[in-house]
Parts: sequence; structure tokens; C-alpha cells
Amino acid sequence: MSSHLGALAAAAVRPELLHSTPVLVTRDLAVAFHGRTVLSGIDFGFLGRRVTSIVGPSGCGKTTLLRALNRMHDFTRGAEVTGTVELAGQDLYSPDVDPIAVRRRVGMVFQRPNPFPTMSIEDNVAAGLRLAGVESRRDAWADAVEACLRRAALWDEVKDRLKRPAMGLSGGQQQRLCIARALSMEPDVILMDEPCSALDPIATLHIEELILQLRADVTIIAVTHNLQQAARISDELVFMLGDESGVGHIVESGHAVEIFSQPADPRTEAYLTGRMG
Amino acid sequence: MTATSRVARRRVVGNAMFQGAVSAAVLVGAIPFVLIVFFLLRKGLPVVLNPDFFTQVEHPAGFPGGGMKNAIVGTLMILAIASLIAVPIGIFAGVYMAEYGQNRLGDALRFISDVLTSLPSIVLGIFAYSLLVATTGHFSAIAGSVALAVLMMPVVLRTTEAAMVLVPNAVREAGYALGIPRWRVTLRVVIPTALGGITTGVLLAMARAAGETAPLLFTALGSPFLNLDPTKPTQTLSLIVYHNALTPYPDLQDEAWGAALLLVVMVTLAGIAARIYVARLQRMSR
Repeated sequence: MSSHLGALAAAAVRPELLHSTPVLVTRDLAVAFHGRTVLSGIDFGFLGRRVTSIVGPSGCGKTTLLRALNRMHDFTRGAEVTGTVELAGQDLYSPDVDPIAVRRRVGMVFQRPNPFPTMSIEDNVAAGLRLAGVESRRDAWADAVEACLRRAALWDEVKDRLKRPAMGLSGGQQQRLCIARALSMEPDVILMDEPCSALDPIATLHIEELILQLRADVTIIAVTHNLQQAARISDELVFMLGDESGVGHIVESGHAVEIFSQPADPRTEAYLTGRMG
Repeated sequence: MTATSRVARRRVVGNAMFQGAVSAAVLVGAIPFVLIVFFLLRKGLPVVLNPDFFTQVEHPAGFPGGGMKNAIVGTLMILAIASLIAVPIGIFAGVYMAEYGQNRLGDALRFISDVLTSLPSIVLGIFAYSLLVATTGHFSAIAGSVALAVLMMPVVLRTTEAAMVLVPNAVREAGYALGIPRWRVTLRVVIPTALGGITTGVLLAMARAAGETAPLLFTALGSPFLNLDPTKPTQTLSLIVYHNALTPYPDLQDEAWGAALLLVVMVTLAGIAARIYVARLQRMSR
């Protein structure tokens, strides 16, 4: 009953919220490193064209969950991922799925901006297209660079210096560049791992505005430890906790408006009101 | 005198003695360096400043106007061939070790590489001798180059690996997260980022090889003639120092000093260039 009310409350803010289906669904997802389980029993459906924030205290497994969604744990020795992650019905961990194709459909923006250090601004944005073999003709990728920089609200600031090194940009600009680069692959989902924690408040504001604009055509899943930020940008919220043995679980999830105003679980309330770190 | 001022005086004296001993040690240690530079400049500078030094080949004792042209050309040729062998192998192996070598096989290769670096260089000379000189029946520049290449390769490997490992993992992850295949991320993102360190390593390996004499003694052998054929014996600056210093002729000995000075200048310039390059890279990354 209360979740129905929450849905109505959210829909009053954004009418399109009444109709949404999960695009990325995890079933019994678990992650272990060298035999030690850090994440277990994750069953969740991330709704399409929404911003879902994953929050929780340090060490609860938020980033581990995020990186499991685009198979980044493939690069970690000793990492074992069990369960399924379905994108539009297809299990991303199925043996006949190419992990590289997975990462083209599920993009990622990292905590610290990480443009390619030896490349110019335009080469950075086009790097995905050119190096993943998607587009090699200059006229085609140059158009894509402009389109992505516009979507990332960076075009006006860099249009006259596209060939200058990307490392010459400020931190906030670099992060928007990384978002433009992720957008170039036209992913269905963009994962963001605390995208603003390395930025100053003004840059953070720009990125938050950008996230709200982007959700019109991309599903965004963001990990954040900043609850005010989660309240500002999220449609949906996932609250995680680690249990006594350090295994992370989802405690509560649902519409952000509803969870912030009336959390169902006492632990959620403790975290949201600052009584638990 | 009070008890405290006696202790204080002992402390002051002890301090001064220790500082004096350390300063004396530094001065003593600097003496060989100062002497070397002094003699190099005094005996070698007049020889090097003579234009014949660079334009003429060696003349026999008693015939004035000789130069180092054959030795300079020989040094460059042998160094070039050695680099052509050692640098690609060293870089390829170093990249592999950094990206895929965090395992027992990689540790074994690292150990072997370190052992190779510490082998006496004359042993490398014997190795190249038995491989290329004894089998073919004649000395050659290529045999010398092979010996030097074995010397250079571990240096290039280790410096390449170090440069690659210094590239932050965040840069690699940015590439992987875009759906770029791993080998492409290594080739088009990581290696270009590490290129500064790799180049420095190559320069240092070349500088080290340029000064080596023992591996060339019975491989390249030396020759009074200007030689561009890598299958023939060839003269190098280090070999000229060895050969000419042992002769009783003062003009040849002077040539040896000139060759030694030129070698030291080349190696020092390469080292300075490498250091400036590294400093510039560090400043840019800040």
C-alpha cells in the first residue's frame, strides 16, 4: 500500500514515472574475492530511464555491485561472480556473451576523472568509437564528438580547443569529458561510481544537472555516499548494508521520495538521519 | 666548569669531529672523479678539438693527421644493430611482463633478466664468440652487436616494465569500460602514456652499451679501416682506447685519450638528456 502511494507521489513530480520497466535485472547476484564473499543475494531490477542511487556506509559493497553490472570484475584476479545480470532479458554473464559487447551497452564513469592522458579532447571522446572499431571515418566520428560534447554540456567550453590535451581541462570539465566519452558508445545504461566526490561544489552542481538531463534517454545507476546528492538527483534508491561477516545485502529499495520521507526499515532510517555512519 | 657545560663541550667537539670525518670522506671519494675529468680534459681535449679527429681514419704510429672516423662510424653501426635487436624484444617483453606477467612465470623471467644484467660483460662476449665467430670463422660487427644486445635487452625490459606499471590503473579501466579490447587498450592507450619512461630506458641502455669494451674484444675485434659491412671486423671508440693505450707510441696514446673523452661526453649527454626528459614529464603530470 505504501509503495503504491510512493509511486503516486513520485508520479506527481514526473508523470512519465508511472510507466517504467526494469532494464537491468540482477537475480541472486553474489561476488566473492579469493573465496571471501563480499556481496550476496542481490535481487533487483533497475528501472529504465531513471536515476537509481545506491547508498550505504563505506564497505557495504556498493561499488562491488556497480562493477558487477558491466563485468569489470573480469579484470580482478580472484574475483568470482555468481548469479545473473540481465540486460533486456539477456544474461550478461552467459558464456556465449562477449564481455566487450557488454561494456559497450553498459558504460561507466569513475570516481576520479580519467581522460586518456596522451590524447586531445576530441580524441578522448572519439576513442571509444575508433578503438572499439565502431567508426573510423573522420567525418563520422567528428560529428559524434560534437553531439556527445553537447549532451555532456561541455561543447561551448571546448569547441575552440578540441585538439588541445584533455589533461589541460579542470576537474569538473574532465569529468564531463568522461561522461561525453561514455555517451559516445550510445550505451543503454551508464554506471557512475561516486562521480562528484573528487569535484568542488560548483562542478558537482553541473554534473548533477547533467545527470538529470541525461536520464531522458539513458538509464543511470549511481553510487554515492552523499545523501543530499542522492535526494537531489534520484528517482529510485537502493540502500545497502554489510552484515556482521562483512557480506553486503540490499536492505531496502524503492522510490527515492518515499524512502526519504518514510523509510520502512529502521536501519534505513538510522542511516538517512545520520545516526549510522 | 660546570657539569652541563662539560657535557655540552663534549657534544660540540664530537659533532665537529664527526662532520670533519664525513667531509673528509666526501673529498677523498671525489678525488678519483676530479682526477679522471682533469686528465680526460688535459690529454683528450687538444686531440678532440682537432678537426682531423672526426674526418680522418686511424693513421699508423708516426703518421700525423689520424682521426677516429672509423671508430665513430663503427661505434654507431654496432650500436644501431644492437639496438635493432634488443629494443623491440625488450619493449615487447617489458609490456608483456607489466600487463600479463603478475604470476610465477613473470617472476621467473624477472629473475632471469636481473641475472643477465649482472653477468660480467666479457661472458657475453664469449657467448657471442662461440655463437657467431667460431661458427663462421671470422670476426664481425654483428657478433659484437649480438653481445651488446644481450647486455641491453634486460635493461630495456625492466625500464619498460617499470614505465608501464607506473601508468595508473584508472587509465586502463577507462579503456576497458568503453568496450575496447584489452590488447588495444594496451597498445593505443597504455604504451603511449608510458612512452616517456620507455624512451628513457632505451637511451640509458644505449649509453651503457656504447661504453662497453669487453664484449667487443673478440667479436668485433677492431680494425684500422673504415668499415660499413657488418659481417667484417669493425673499430669502435672503446676498442681504440684498449688497443692504443697498450702501444708504446705517444701519438696513438693521445688518440686513445681523445676517444675516451668523446665516449664520456656521449654517455654523459645521453644521461643528462634522459634526466631532463624525465623531469619534464614529471612536471607536466603535476
